[in-house]
Amino acid sequence: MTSRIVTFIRLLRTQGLPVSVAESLDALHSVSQVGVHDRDLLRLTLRTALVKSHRDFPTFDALFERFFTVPRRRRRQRGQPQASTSTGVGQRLALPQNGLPFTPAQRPPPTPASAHRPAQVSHSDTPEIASEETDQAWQALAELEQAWQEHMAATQQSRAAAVPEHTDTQRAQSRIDRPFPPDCLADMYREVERLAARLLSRQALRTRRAQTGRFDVRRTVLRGLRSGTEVPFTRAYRRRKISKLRLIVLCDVSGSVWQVSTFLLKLVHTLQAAFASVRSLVFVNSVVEVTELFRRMHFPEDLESLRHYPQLNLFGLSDFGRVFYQFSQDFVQDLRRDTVVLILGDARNNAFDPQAWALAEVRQSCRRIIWLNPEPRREWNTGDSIIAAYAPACDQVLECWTFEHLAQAADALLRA
Amino acid sequence: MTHTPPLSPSPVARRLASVADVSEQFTAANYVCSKETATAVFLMVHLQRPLLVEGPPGVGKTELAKVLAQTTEAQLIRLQCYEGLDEAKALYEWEYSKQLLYVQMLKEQLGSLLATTTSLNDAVALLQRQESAFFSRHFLLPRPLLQAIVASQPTVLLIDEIDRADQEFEAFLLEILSDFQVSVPELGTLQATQRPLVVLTSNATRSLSEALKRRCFYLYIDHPTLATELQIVQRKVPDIDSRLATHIVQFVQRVRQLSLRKPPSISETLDWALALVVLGASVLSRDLIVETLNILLKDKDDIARALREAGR
Repeated sequence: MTSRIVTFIRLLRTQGLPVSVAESLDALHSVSQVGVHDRDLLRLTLRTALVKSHRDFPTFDALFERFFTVPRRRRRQRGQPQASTSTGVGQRLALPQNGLPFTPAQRPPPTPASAHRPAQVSHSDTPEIASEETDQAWQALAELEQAWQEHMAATQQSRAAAVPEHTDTQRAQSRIDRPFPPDCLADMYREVERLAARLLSRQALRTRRAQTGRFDVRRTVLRGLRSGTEVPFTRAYRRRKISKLRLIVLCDVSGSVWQVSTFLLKLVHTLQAAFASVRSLVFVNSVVEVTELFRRMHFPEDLESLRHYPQLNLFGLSDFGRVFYQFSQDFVQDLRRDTVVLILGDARNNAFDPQAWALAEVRQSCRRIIWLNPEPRREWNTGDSIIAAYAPACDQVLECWTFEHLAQAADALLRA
Repeated sequence: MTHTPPLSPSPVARRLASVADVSEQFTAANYVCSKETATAVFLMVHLQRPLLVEGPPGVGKTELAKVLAQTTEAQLIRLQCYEGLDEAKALYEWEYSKQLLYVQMLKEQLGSLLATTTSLNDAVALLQRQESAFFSRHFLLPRPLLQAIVASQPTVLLIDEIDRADQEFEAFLLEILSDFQVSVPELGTLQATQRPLVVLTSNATRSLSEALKRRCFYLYIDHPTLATELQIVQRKVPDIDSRLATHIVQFVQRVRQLSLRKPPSISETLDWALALVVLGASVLSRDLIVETLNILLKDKDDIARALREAGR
């Protein structure tokens, strides 16, 4: 039984369920506790120990169904030995070869394959049949492998197809760099607001805690000694200074990253309370300040107006080099020691001059530069992406293509 | 982490000797549980693993822990998680004011103790020897986690809404969940004399870390089926007319199918059923629904949608 469960766990892993060794052990211990008499109980037991997300339940159940199913040996014995085309993966898996196909109800205690076959498996004990069975077994194994691959391809497809579903929890993992259907978009903005609220409350807590600080035993005692009373009356606290930061957001709004940019701008503007000031700049190939526009804008209805903003050529080619040069010329006098520059862009420079020195110069006069890249990390520095050229000037370069990334980025920003 | 199953079954494990036992005893405690729930509880009790319970709000996750404590006659210690929860609130704190008070009250003893010393160095050395008096269990203020660890009687530790706590706290919890020991620098390591049964609940507002999930058994409780919910209503609101109960549950089940902002939970169904009983209703008329739907649903748009559904 142990080996069958281990095989089953291996199958789960190939299906993308993350099962660790510790969990496998748990599963085995669990099964030894409940026994294997009740098939449904076995399913629930294994699931409790192995599957840690209810989204994986359907996959698990389907696999279990196929893996632990009694083979229909009787039908084959009645003169259609090859009739396995219609049987499922699990039915074929339950090979006579190992002598112990899983027959939960009737299964006798494990005995050597040839000595005592379970009645249901074999109606004849002749050796010829046994060797024929072995052949069948190998064939079934080959079939199984093929069926397996098909099944995997199918599930992977269905998994990929399932991505645009937007239930509450899936939303966190869903990619935000793909266009959404319009009705989901409003939901997403609401989600951004919720995220912002959470971040704000956390930030408020951080500030509050920083105001009192942590109790400092050493200094309390010292203070007591110094004042001459043996009892330390005045308490001392270790304080950490948290001051509000100034934020300048620099967003690429060219077609490919438009959506992520709008989410980020929305988030940043909801977070205004956490900063001393927020300025928003957008660019394609030149920088435009949109702070005023955003101040009185309603999301997401008014976003379209950004598309018709003068001086902003949304159909131009992104030119990061030029943008950074312009930024370093026009905005450097506004940068201060407590200014954080947040850049969002894919660093796809259309083969223009990177002018990374301009960004390095900006870094000289601000507190931090955080770069969010709305592409998965593996796509960085491929094609015309030149993020590596800019990375040395930045304090942090983060991926930002799922909702969770956005949350992490915002958190990094608040801790800057 | 140790993976050896317990050798001698604990009294709790003996009480819940099989999955059927769990079902039976939970039902006796007025908690209607599915086979999944019973299996998960059975496993957590027998293998002494924490149980992570996920599901939409109001399906009885917290109640599960309470009933578990009740059936196993264990004390329930609850830790409600929230953003910013830290060790001092979850594990232990030194009772500073009490220490201070004692110092003041023992001032004379301290004075006479130190009278024999001649130099400041001697005095400090002498005081250091007495230090343990002020950092003893006596001045330790145990918070839920420490309470659960040092408890001498069987304990169910409920860590409620773990998804609300920060990630840091989750990481900190890992150590406790795997070893059930806490090290207090001044006292040394405190080891659990008996392992508490740990139930963690989560509304899945954020995904928990893999490390935490790996250490737990997992149970997902969804909204109940019609039959189960009917059973729950009849158990919790005993003097309800069975026809009315059926109507209520059918309506609630239908409402849950609508894509509402907040689908009604079991507790809300129960509240509604109770309210209707108090109002002396025997059938679920449309007027009655209009008047009392705000007990079931708490959102204006949701109520409007449900009423449209009721009209049909």
